[in-house]
Amino acid sequence: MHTDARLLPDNTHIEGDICIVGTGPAGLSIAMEWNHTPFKIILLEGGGLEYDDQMQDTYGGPATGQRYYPLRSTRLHYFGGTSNHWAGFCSTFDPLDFEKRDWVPHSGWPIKKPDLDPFYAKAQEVLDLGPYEYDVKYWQQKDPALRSLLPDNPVVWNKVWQFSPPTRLGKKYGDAVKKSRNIHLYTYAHVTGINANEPVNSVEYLKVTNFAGKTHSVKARYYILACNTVQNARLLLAACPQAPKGLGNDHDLVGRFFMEHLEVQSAWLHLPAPSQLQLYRFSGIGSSRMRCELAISPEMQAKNRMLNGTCSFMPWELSKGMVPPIKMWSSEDPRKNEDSMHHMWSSHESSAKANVEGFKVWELKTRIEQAPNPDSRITLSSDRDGLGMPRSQLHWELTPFEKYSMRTLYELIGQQLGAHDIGRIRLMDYLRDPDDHAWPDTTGGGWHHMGTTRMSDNPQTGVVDANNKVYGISNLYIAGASVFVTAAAPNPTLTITALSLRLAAHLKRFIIK
Amino acid sequence: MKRRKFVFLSIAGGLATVTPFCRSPKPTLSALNNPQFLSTICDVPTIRKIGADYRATNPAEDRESRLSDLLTADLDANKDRTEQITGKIRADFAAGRTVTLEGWVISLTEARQCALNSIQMP
Repeated sequence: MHTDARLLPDNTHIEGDICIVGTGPAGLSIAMEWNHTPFKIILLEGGGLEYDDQMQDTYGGPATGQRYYPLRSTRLHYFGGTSNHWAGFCSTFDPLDFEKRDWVPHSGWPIKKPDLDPFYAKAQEVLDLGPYEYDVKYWQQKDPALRSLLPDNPVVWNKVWQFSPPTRLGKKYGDAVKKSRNIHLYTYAHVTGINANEPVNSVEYLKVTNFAGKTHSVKARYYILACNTVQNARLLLAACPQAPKGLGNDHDLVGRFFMEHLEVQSAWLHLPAPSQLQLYRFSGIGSSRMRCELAISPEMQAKNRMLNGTCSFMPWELSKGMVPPIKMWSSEDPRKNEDSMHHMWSSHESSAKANVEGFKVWELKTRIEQAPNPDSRITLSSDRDGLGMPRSQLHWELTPFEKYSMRTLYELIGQQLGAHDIGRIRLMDYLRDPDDHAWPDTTGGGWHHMGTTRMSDNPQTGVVDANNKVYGISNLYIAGASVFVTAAAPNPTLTITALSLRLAAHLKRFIIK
Repeated sequence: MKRRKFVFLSIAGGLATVTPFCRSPKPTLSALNNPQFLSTICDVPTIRKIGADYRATNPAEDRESRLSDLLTADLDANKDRTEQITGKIRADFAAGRTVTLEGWVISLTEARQCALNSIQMP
């Protein structure tokens, strides 16, 4: 069932069992788990069914610290959320990513990889991925041309990525939602208020508004904030009049620990003879099923006290003419950025396909977790958006730890390549001096926002518990990458979806009981 | 003195006089100064640049004899030198005995080969 909240009479009161705020991969995957149940699900989307520049503008905000993409254009504010422009890259977190690592401050999830495995398997279906197989041998048995660059060794391994078509969740589930009897989708229902009871231990209702000048209230037994990492924090910080320092923010954690994946060109691989490196190639959005990136074993990460990251390959002949994403994705309008990116990628893909003999020199790109850092954070700006909400403000802060880990990643890969007479690694200028902590102007992120409402088994170190419930608030849950404790190396959508499905399962057990 | 013997002695004497003032024969590429694998992916100026960088950062080794000694230290004179050096390079990489020079992550043995090359073939 779908209702445009602009067309409702002003001050309409909406009621249901569960209210989900946001219709991206988190919100929609949770909602669909409740389809055809006796429970009334209120699904709130701040934007419309299609892109709307006025609504998109509510995502804008200033940024300080490490140069970043315009906040206004990194997330999409309409039905389907950012799945409307993601590229479909998926991989699972490693078991080590969930562990407390004594060399990574603030690491350690209250859940472990096996807790998530059944939901990863289910998330594969939501995102139209292949089988839940992330062992390279499975794929090599299906296609012997997918040869490993390195023989099995205790240092470097092949981490599998799978590619979603990419699934646009709004398109995939739109009809089902509209036809559903128990899922009530409200578009142009932008949450601007979270009203709590007087001791501020439960949410009483949400206030939603839109540019048509309509304001409505939404009451439910349970609420799930499934906006995105920036907006989840912003809502907690700004939207509750009874909690001026922020809802769930008794320990000043909301908005802190903002994390991104650093995605930076870092080195070159020189081979003595041309190769296609088929196992490591991405042949384009919609046409690749899987590929590998090189990763470092948990034992070597521990020994070298480094962050988790991977290395991907692109022929240097083709990549040297490409503009780094941080320079290309510079418009406040996400549509312009997408056009530029797709144009660049498609010209690269056609050049790559024209080459039959392979390449001797490859550009290596790092994808590495950012260490959890309380000073890397989302706060509220003094500026307000068109609906009267304080804008988000990002301070993105990196540390020498990320750069050390990147350098070590390539030293370890270089050592294995050398030990097996395969090739040699050459670091780019900015990585050569261990005492140089500056970042090059090509440094960018993966458009992956994580960590601002982190999960913990202790309210003093986390905003939500292991079941995504906000500490101190009995009926408020959070879904999405804002609950990530660490970022791992992979793109977050698969893990966001798996965690969301886990939350849906938890609520089902809890509510039905 | 027969004419033939006179001519021979004259030439020999002349050579003996001149030789100390001539440079020794130009060194050629050898197992010690030619990093075999690296030279399949790097050109000669790059190898010399790497070598010069190594010498600058390791002044205690900045002598031809010292580098030769280090490179030959554990080699078996009865075995093929190139194969042994290749084995040393692989062992360096496996043990993490690498250095980063001009951005190249190379083995310590390769770095010394480059250094020797840059001295012998500047």
